[in-house]
Amino acid sequence: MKACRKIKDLLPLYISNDVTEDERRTVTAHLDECPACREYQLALTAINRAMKPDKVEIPASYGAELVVALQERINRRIARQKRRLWAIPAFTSLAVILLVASVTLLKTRSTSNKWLSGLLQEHAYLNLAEVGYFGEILVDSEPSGNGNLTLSTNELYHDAVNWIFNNPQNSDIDSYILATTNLSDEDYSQVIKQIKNEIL
Amino acid sequence: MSNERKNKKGHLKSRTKGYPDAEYFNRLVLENQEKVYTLFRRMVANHEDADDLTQETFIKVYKNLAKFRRDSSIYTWIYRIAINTGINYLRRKRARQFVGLDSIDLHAEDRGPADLRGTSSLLNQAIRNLSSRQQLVIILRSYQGLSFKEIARLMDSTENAAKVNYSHALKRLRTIFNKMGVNYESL
Repeated sequence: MKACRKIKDLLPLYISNDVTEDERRTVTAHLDECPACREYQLALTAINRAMKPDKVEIPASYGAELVVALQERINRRIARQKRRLWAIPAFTSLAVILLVASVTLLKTRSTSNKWLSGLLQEHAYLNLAEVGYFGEILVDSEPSGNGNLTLSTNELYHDAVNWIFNNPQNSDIDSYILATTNLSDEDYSQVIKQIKNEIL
Repeated sequence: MSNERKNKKGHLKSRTKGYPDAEYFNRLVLENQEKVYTLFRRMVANHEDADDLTQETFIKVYKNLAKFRRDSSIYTWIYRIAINTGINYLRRKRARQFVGLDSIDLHAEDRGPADLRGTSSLLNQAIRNLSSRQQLVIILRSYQGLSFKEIARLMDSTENAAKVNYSHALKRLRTIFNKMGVNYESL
């Protein structure tokens, strides 16, 4: 039985003439005296015979069609690679631009905040008073004509400037000033201009 | 041939920077497509699958052409890529859909001789039930007529391993045909 197992392992190669001369002699001698292995050999020979090389049918135009199909795939691949090559520097540039813009914006904002917080409200008010706007307004607006800034009017302007500095981002500055003063159009424009020059 | 210029490392040089030369590549395809397609056509049931695998093989050739060193002939190199593509395909297919002995049409003989007329169909069905390496060895040895030495070189294996695979494959085919009740005289 052990001999049969060895012979059965060799039989496929025996059939296809891939054994050594010694192996061939051993197998042939065994087959002469073992009917079971002979039967086994017949089955393998039949299978081996059935697997004779036969020509595979290939469509006549297959080669040309294959070249075209491959070229299309390769062109698509190259186009994809080129897009990728273009995209990398583009995205990198965009990222750098965004980074620089963000840093610049943060820096500007920081400087602006420092400037605003460093500016005392009284100082700003005094600046405005110094340039004479409050005085002019007072003279023009006070019927008594004593030339002094009344406390209530002074406080009114002080409140206005406070409000402006406390709310520098407020877009209603102009309307607040308009509502809390009785400036002429010309004076109003000058005050606004001055305030904008001072704080914005 | 001007298309086969080589650089200092012995790699094939392309006319187009970064891409293999199209003219040279197309010539390789036309010269080798028949062998590659034939190999796959024996492995798979239809033209479409064989065509897909042939294209996959040549795309790999295209991608790696610049790295090809002339340690072997270009034909051997391409055929080796085809064989690896085939082994991977068979493994993927096996992983997706395991085909056991029980799934083979065991009752073919009950339907009479008409079903057995297509011996090659019967054989193909049985061969596809072998392991990927056994299938390839059978195809390369019995159908393509390659020697075990050539098969071993193509499959990155030894001659003895190729012989063992062949021997096991043939014995397994016998087992499959026995289960199918095939009369060997009809083969």
